[in-house]
Amino acid sequence: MIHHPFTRAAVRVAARTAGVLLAVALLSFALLRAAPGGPFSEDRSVPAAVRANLEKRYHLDEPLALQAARYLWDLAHGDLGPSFRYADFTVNDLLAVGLPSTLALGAAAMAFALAIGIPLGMAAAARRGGLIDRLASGISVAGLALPTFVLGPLLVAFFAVTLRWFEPSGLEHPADLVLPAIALGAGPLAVITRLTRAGMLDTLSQEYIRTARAKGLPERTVLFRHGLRPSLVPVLTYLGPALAAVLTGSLVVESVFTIPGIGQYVVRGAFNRDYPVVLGVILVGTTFLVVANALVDLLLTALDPRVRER
Amino acid sequence: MTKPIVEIENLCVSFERDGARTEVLRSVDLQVRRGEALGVVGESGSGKSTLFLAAARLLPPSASVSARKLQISGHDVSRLSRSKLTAIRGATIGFVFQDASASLNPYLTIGRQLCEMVEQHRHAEAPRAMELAEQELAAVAIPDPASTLHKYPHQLSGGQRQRAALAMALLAKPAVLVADEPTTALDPTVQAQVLELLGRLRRERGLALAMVSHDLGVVAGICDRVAVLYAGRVVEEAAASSLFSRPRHPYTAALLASAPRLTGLRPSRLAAIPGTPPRPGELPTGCAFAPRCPRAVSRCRSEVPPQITQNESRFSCFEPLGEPA
Amino acid sequence: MTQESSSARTAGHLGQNLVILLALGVAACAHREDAPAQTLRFHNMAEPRTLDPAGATGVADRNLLLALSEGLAAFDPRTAAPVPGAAERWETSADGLLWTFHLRAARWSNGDPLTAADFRRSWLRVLDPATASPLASQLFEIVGAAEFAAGTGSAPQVGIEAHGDRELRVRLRRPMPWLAQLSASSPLVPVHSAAGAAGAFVRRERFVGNGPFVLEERVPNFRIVMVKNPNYWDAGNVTIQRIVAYSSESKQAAVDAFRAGRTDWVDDFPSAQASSWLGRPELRTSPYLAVSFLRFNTTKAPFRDARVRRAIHMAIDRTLLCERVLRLGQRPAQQLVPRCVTGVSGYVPVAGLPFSPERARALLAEAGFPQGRGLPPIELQYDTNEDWKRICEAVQAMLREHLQIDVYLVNKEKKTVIDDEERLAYLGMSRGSWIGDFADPMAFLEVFTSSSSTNRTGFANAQYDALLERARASADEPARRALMAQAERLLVEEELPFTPLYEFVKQTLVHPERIVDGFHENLLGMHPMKWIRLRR
Repeated sequence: MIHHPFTRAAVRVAARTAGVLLAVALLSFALLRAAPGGPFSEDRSVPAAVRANLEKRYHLDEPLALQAARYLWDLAHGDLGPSFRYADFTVNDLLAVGLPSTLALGAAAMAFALAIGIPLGMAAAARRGGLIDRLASGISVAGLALPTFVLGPLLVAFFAVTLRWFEPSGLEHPADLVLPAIALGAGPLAVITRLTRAGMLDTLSQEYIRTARAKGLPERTVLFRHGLRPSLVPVLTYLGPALAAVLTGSLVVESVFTIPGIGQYVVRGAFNRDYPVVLGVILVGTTFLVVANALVDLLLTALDPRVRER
Repeated sequence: MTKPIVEIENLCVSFERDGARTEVLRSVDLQVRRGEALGVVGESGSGKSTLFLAAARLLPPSASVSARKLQISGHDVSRLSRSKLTAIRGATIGFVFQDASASLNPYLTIGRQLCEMVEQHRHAEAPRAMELAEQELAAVAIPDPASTLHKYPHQLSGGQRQRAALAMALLAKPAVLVADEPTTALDPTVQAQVLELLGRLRRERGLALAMVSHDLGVVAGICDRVAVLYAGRVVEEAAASSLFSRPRHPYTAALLASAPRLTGLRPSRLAAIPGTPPRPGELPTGCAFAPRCPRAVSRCRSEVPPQITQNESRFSCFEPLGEPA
Repeated sequence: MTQESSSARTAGHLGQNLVILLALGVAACAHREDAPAQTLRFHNMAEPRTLDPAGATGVADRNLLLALSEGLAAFDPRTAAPVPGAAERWETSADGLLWTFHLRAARWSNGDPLTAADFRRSWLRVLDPATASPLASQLFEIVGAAEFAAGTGSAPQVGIEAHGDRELRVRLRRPMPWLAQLSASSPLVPVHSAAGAAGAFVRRERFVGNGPFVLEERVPNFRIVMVKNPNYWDAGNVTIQRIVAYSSESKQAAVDAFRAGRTDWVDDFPSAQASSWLGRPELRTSPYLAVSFLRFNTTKAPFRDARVRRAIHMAIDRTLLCERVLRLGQRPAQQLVPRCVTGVSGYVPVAGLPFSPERARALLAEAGFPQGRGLPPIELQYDTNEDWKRICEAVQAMLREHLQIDVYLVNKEKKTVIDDEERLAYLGMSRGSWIGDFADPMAFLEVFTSSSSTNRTGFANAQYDALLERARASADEPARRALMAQAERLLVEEELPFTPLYEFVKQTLVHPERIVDGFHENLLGMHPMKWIRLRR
């Protein structure tokens, strides 16, 4: 019964993803090529003959339209092309190495934001105006006001350099994810705390909560069984934007903490005019976002029986 | 006479909002006796819903409650521990609220919401709880109780929802059921059916009922005794028959006059009473009803009329209507 | 008393549990294995472009390549002078045109014998147009090399000959006194015949080298792990068992990792950072074979006029720049060739034009711009970097003070700056620098010949080109030096297609208790890792 509409939804998501990817690929391709300089502009200028050889090897001497077509053709075959800057690797290599790190970082950041944000928001709502509520609003303000590139180095300076609890950079041990996940998750944490608090306050004012209390249920049951799910709807709705925020935030965090993920390739790749790398990362990121948003939709459906009906 | 299940003496409730205090209930005395059906009637804002919520300590933190006596089944509610309080709620005093689409949790199945009542108060676990829930749904005349258990509130009709809410309240076998406008949100035909069901179940189970309503018509068919609330005070309380036939307080009389017929047909608005009820916090000195009262004399506007008790009834008025028989 | 406050209590417990959970997490993370004692961990700047010698242009690439491979010569860790490497000795003919290298019996890391043919093949590979190596021109003094690279000649015509397994002869068109140095540098290290295969510079099982270390693991933009090569001819003198080279563009992260004790050595970091380490034993600064300058676009007014270029040059107080802005021992440069070259090549750089605001003002007036009047707004562009920004701001202030010239600064990203320079599209001045490939003045002077693609000023002077040609052809060292000095004088005392600013120093952070010996500063910034001794 569920199978059929689900398959249809999956097909719809796949079609949407493909469309978005094509548009993103072409647009990025055009924008990248509009930037001055090329992948082989270096302090040591290469002689014209050598440059010609290099450009020929990478088909950069062909008309742009042909290059774009060639790129799309390879893309359709799962080949994202060579990297100019990291000549020993293909883009597929770089992504294969970097993607797990980025995903681990993103997952850790989201887990941090959710694991702290939801209980904190709930606690703040339950004891409105109390100490925890003030703490929560402080954390929210700090999380939103402190940009990642400030928070990251602060965390490093204190927890890695001064206290030496964590490594300042790199990803050689799961514990190395702690500081970057905090830096990356701080923004979403702030929003999730606020949303949970607001959602919980809204839920607690609902009549069915009064009913649950009137039924003589213990407060724990009231909060968790009756209050939690409805309070999480706004949080869940935010997950899509949160994932986007985490993905873009990891560009910065990966640099600050030297995490070998794919985020760093967006900016570096652009500076290096490493067209295939930038395109590859953008396409992977876009795919991820489109799929993640579709999953969030599904999750929302699963959470609220009233939405499920439709 | 048996001991009342609910005893309320000199209950005052006020809400604090933005630093301002608003009195909602002012020295209310009320009792619900075992097995009886009490109607509590008043316009919106009269404090009638607050009354029993206060009794079960279900008001939000912004409410401040004081009372000389606030007892349920002989327990002093204001001093009960959390666990005792949760034991009394549901199991001794059950609630059915006005709009079941809002008072039932839209995220949980009917079965879940019913079973947790059984689990909490009758300590029966899953299969047995489901069985009991199904029986109770059958008792409130829900057509297909077994499948209803697996449905969500929004999948039921309004009448069925209210029946399910009723079944839920009854599952813990409370001694008194507070029904707060239980039929207001329903179609008139369904309303009549639910009222009929309520009356029948109450008689069959020897349940005490506190029916809170703005509609005298709803109360008339079911209740033994009626208390009329106006602006946070009980202005009159009497056996239903005497109150309907010979109201003493002009407000009761006006209410009766504004209800076209006491048949439970369309709930009527109180258009026949001139003026509007006073807003809480803007109460006139003297009798709160005086500005709208055709019988008001100057004294009514300066002094709060004392409560006059006669036999089983009482009222607060300087210029009451004719003596009871 | 009302009910909701009890929900607050529940939530309070929740908060408490959370704090405990977090504390546990922190405690669990606090311990981890320490690196073994003979593991060298260092920060190697940004990710290398490639470990293919033919494409390796950066310092990061070079650092790694010289650990993984070894040229015919190797670098002395103290002086960076060439010492025997894969060749145990070499000799030069009297005219300087024939070099003979005698290889020692050595093996590749996979056990294959290392032969003269391996070197011949590797050098030809750099020249091969199919390789498209940006470094090919370094070998153009070899007979037939330029023709082969240009596609007009062929490999057999190139003067690189293997005689037996152990002798390599190199025939030159013109003398190349620096060939021994060059043969130690990364472009001329040998690559195994299997190097063309995919992953040869990435995967442990594909990598074959002849250096003191072999590739163990490579994670792009993170780290490269190398372990000692048991097949290296001098393995008995290598005490380091394992090297972890971290790659990161973030210099802040590099310094933090050093501070936190994760790395023993940070190879290069910005002078802005270095000032906070001044006076500490970790900081080591040493003259570096590199010079900083501002290019002029000599094809556009007002810098078509050499007098204007000279005026700008003489209005910049380099001493002030070095002492107040840079502060790490950088030396003012009024010439192109860094003075540290003298120790290796014997060449003494020329004096150049001194700082003299009066003469600068006079020159400017002479060129038709008294007190800077009539000059168009002058642009000074630089690529994004904290040091460059500070330098350019200082220059801007000096020109305003001494010449009443308004210079506006334009910050661009690096590729755009280079692109502007290559197309001569920049509107005045552009910050640049040059690191010598080898310790010879020629490594600097040839940058500004008319045929040099790195010239990027539009400057083309037949006399200058001719002087350098004659120097190249000369086998007589004093005569060669004199010709080069004459060329340099022409360049920095008359023409000035650029104005030199200062000679670089290289800043490294070295953990004095971890690295106890074998780590020296030299003008090439070379730190051959086979000599480094870690505390036991």
